[in-house]
Amino acid sequence: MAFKCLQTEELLTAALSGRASEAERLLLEEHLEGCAACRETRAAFEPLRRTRRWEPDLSDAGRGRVLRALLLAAAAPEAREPARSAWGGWGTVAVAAVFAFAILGLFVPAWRRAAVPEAVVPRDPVAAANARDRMRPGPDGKVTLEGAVVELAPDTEALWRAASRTIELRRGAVVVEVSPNTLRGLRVTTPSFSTKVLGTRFRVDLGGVATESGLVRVFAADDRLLAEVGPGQRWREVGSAGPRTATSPRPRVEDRQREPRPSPRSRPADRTGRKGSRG
Amino acid sequence: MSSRPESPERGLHEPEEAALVQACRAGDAQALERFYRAHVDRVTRVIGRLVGPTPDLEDLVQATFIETLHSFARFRGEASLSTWVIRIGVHVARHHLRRGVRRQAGLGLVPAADDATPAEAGADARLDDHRVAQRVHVLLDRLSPAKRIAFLLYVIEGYSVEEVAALTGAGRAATKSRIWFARREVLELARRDPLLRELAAEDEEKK
Ligand SMILES: [Zn+2]
Repeated sequence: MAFKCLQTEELLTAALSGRASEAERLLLEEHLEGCAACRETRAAFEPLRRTRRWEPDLSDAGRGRVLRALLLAAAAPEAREPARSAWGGWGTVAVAAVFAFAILGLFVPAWRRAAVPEAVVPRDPVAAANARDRMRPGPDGKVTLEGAVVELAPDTEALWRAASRTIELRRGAVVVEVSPNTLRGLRVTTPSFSTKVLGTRFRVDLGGVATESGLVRVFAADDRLLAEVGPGQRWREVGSAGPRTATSPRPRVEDRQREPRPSPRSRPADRTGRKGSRG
Repeated sequence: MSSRPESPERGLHEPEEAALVQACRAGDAQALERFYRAHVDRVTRVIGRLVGPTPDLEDLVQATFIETLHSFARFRGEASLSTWVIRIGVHVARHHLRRGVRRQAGLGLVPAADDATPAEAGADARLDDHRVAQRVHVLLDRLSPAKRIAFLLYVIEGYSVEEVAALTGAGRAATKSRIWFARREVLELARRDPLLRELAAEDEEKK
């Protein structure tokens, strides 16, 4: 049976994914020798062959981090088997089990009870939050984001950058409730460090982090991973008393910090290359 | 060299798997760790292959396992535990791709500094494969996530059409057409992409 050029793509696909029989491969090779057009088709497949050879992998450290996060999530009863799992209804935010974490500039224990600042009430809090803009709470003092609710203390100055899902805390305090079912991490930055979280409960002031439950990753201004702070653990920046620690001394890990993992891993801060509509 | 995926049915026997799931549901740390270690490499590979080189890989793997934890309650053993986890990973990858935010490690960057594997004989080739994969995924960003995922599971991971359909929750016919159209688009994009031609040419010279 004569080989048709139309078969080439199908056979190249089969060969690429390891499905082609020996006979099919020989037939293909034979044809390619005498057909320049099909050799071009093979060239177009080459990047795919190379892509198949690339093996995505995590480092041992990365695998360990994920395992710890899994075990910590399992240890929190509310994280296990929520009333409605995200598997059945992705896209909406489950409110059944809500984790909270707090970023506190100057922590005032009573600030939650204080009067709500006379902020301009946005017509649509979600839309307002999506703008790359100052966070302005509604009458309840809250701003709703996708997968998170943010409560602002009086006199708080914070920016929300939707593209990178980052809250930039400049002054004051925020409490952020992250849905444990959201797949979208959230980052909070202060002038000297930043934290990253996927559903947990912790508190940060400009000098450090204390975790109640879950796992918090702390990054330096240059995005180096400084520490992972587990439940009951605390991390402080040495000598940082105020918000400005541009040349912050080397931080150290206190308490029961098991693995103060100074890491060379770079975390590119630029995540603004987004395109299309927001997800 | 990547081989065909292990059969989804491989792994523990049913009663054993049911017991493991039960223990994981109860939050048994040892069971969870056993479950995690059995699946993390495959989950990582499949998600990585779907989304391409990205600093978010670790987060996506983490999201998959956390989601699996939430889903144990609904595991009835119709599919193997392995297929179940991969399905969740595929879902997480699709969710990520729908966000449309591509955070890439720069061209020429190996995945992450602390991910550095011993740089030996294969280091050069690995870096090049990484760069090519990176560029291919930039082109794949132009496809719909559904088409991209069906295509990559079939062509790169080597799943059958039926398996791809099961992993993506789509019908057989829809899956076939997604693979076909994706291949057409990918080849067309690859033919026209100057950077990819350049990378491929570099590769030819090294041979
Ligand atoms: Zn031909």
